[in-house]
Amino acid sequence: MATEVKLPELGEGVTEGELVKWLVKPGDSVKADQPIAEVLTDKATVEVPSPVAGTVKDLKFKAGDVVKVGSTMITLEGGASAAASAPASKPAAPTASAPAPQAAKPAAGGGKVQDIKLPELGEGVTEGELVKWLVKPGDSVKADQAIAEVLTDKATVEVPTPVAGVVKDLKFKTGEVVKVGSTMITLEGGAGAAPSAPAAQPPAGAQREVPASAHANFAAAHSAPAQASSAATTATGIFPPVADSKVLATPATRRLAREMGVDINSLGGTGLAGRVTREDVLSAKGGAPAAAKAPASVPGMSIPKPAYQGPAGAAEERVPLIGIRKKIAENMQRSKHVIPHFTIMDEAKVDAMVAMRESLKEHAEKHGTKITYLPIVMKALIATIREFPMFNASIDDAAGEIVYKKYFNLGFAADTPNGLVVPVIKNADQKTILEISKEILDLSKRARDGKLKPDEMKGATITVTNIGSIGGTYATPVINHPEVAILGMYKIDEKPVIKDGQLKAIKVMNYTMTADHRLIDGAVAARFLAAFIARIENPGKLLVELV
Amino acid sequence: MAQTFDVVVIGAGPGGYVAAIRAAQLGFKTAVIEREFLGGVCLNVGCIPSKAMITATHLLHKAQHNFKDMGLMIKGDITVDMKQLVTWKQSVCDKMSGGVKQLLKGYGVTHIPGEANFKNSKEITVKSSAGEDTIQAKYFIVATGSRPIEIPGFKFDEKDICSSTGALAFDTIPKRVAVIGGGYIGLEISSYLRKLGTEVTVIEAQSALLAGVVDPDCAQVVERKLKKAGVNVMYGAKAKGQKKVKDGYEVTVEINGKEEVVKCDKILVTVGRRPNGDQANLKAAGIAVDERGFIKVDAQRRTNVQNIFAIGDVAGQPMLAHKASHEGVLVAEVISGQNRVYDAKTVPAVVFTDPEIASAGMTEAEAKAKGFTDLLIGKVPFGANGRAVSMMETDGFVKMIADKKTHVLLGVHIVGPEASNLISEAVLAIEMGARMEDIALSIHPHPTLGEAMMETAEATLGHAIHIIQKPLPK
Repeated sequence: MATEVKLPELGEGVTEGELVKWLVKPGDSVKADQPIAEVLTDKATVEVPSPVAGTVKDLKFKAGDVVKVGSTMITLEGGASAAASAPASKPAAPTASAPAPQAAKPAAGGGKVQDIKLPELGEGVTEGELVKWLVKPGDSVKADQAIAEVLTDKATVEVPTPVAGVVKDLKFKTGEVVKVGSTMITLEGGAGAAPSAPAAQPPAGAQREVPASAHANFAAAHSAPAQASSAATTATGIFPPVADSKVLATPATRRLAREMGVDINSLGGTGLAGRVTREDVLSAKGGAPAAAKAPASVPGMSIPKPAYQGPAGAAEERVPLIGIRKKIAENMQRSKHVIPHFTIMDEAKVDAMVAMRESLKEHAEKHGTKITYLPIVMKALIATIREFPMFNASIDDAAGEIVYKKYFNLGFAADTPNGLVVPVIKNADQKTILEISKEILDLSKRARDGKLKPDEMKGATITVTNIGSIGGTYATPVINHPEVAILGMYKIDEKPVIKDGQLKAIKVMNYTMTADHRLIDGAVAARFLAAFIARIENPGKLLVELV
Repeated sequence: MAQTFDVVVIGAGPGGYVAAIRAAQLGFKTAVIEREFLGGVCLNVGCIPSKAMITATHLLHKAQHNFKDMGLMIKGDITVDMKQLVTWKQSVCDKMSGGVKQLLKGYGVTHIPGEANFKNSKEITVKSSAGEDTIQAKYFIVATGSRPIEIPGFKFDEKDICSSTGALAFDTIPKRVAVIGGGYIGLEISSYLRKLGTEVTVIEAQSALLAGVVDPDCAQVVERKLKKAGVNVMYGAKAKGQKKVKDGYEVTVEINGKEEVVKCDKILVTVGRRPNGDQANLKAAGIAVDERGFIKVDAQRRTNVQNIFAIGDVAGQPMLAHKASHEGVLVAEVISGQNRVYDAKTVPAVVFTDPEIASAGMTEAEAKAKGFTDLLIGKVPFGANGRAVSMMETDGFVKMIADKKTHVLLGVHIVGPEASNLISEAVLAIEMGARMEDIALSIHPHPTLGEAMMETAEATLGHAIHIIQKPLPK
């Protein structure tokens, strides 16, 4: 029996990835958990494993294609056995019977045990809370019958089973949060499975008056490449559901909500007489998905999406804003939107630091690495933060709290062919300069190769950016939200000074401190930078402060 | 070799031609198939010609009844040259239909005259005098409209036994007309025929005119005026049959179990329209049609067949040209990948009787059924409106219904001069979620009929100026 291997969830908020490379080809035998492809997401390149063993029948995408989470990547032959036993706790590997819209056919089971998974519930919806079971073990269910009610952040929806059978067991309890792709129930003896039943079901409230006899047409028509319809509708449903006079909103606002995929009926209007305003819709889109967990989330934020129309006939090329570039764009925009930035700049005399580094070169080489200025700067930064802890903090806007962090995870901005990424040196205060040096070299290389894991780019408490190696005297870097500060370092230059009546050349290096003005006052930042530069100018001070 | 298009629209009425133009604007290679005339029923045998006739007879009526009071003297009688009237009416239709032709051409839409029938969900045949062609398309939009319902014993010949089509083409003024059906089409035609001097008898099966179509208060105003003008109305009356007699026709009418005879020269049957869901061989494409003959569509006006859409009369109530046009734009945009759905809060309805009736939003009964238990209702007669008085057209009123809790406008019903034009403000207000204060506080120009809108909003709040409202709210 053929098994479809789908692109699993790749991380929170990741909905698609670019296929970088196939690691298998048709005819290959693969083992369970064997990587089949490399996929570049906006966070990192990941290897996608096959959840089951089998023989590769065909590859559904070409390198360079953008693959949506839940799309079938390959089909495997003879890979059935593992599917049923795949534990429910492995949502990262939705397998054959996941009734995602892309699934061409539900597995036609002949007395076999089948997993019924939580299907895609709508654009951007990754999980839902189980409100109520509509079936119990032992019940016979028909294809398309609703088995459970699931509350998403958009609406309560009824989850149908794509195939018929007898309910064997329920995998969740009411109140539990179920991820899209998780097995909800197992069915036995799916003899009545209707292969022609459409896999995708409309969200609750969508039109469902299509007679059963019409389904064959739908399936047939849908498999043909319908060029435009897929964006707005699945085979039978419309998302978001049609507003049926439930809320008060102007026609333009209603249209905006649909375009943004926001179910306007689920919004509480803040306008007069409960009108849902344009701002309500914008903030529902901007704030909702992240609101649940990430302390970094910014509720109520809206990012405008102005159009750009060039002069007619001008030579222009349009490419999709996707992947890392899109993520960078979003992050930068969010940061500038949320944080009132200000930057203070100063110059440090770095003869002593240069000399120190020179003197340590050989030692470092013996230990198989080399020392750059960055780890030294990081150590000076950590020591200065101990004096000024607000530089290592975050603002939890949702809770209205300042979060002081007692750990030091230092991000550093890395320039890669794909764009800016920020790898993180975790617990940098507990690592030696040599250890940090090694880690920086490793992370930088993997950043350039697009091989960083998402984890390695998360959780920075403050970031250092070193654009000086390329050029520029001063810059105003953008803070990596939810951090509250970013230290910029620039190139080392020689500068003439007059000392004791003598013209002398000294080495100087510029530093900038861009800070979140909500938390950090100008004077504090000035003091911070001065204290930091004092350490840079006198590395010995660092030594005596080492814990 | 079959011709191939991105989008093929079947029917060039107010739904179809609009859909075709929008599709072309969006860059699709588009064709529109039309078996009869560009602009459909609306432009050729419906809205436009009837409004031409109504306008002309309205002026005639004013000349006959108002001029003298206004001091405008006409020497001798005003006579009607019916042939010229019909010629002028036809020139209006031709102008409009020609305009559609120009637009289609200007946007590069291929116009194919002929009758379309589906072969399957990807192909149609088009039969015309030139033969039969096969046309393929990625998407089809079915906009085949509706046709007048025929009743047993009254087969249309469009000369003596007519639908609206025939009635709009009379080239002499008929002496006596029996109108079967007191709905809006029957009453619009009755209104203007009466003004031309025709004896009109309306045979209505229900106990009121325009029953279930408009707010009963509004219908009453029209009913009163029709009767005053001399239109004979029979209620609870059922037309059983007709026979040709020496000087015209005798229509047998059953009324309260007894039979009566209505003598007339022409019979007009306007008992409603039925969707053309039985045409164009929809079955071959697998398109599902409901038991009333409407094509089943979803909120994007997609049929059960993924690449086929349906709009206008054939896609469901209300059977109104402006609803069809709105759907035409919608569907073209859905095809182009935009996330559009039909979610209009209200489709306004207009009846061009004398006076006109227009409504938008809910009636009182509908509002209550929808759970609005406490309502604000305001009603201001046109007798209190300076412009209406100066026009000598004071019959009628504006009525507004709002939610008492939020003051949000739920429905507007107008009967009176220019009701058809005034209703647009109500549509906008409902779509925008306006409160009564929004309308009352918007300065309306004086002296206009539109002031009645502002005044009625004030009336719902209990403080209209030009009518006496007591007791004043605290």
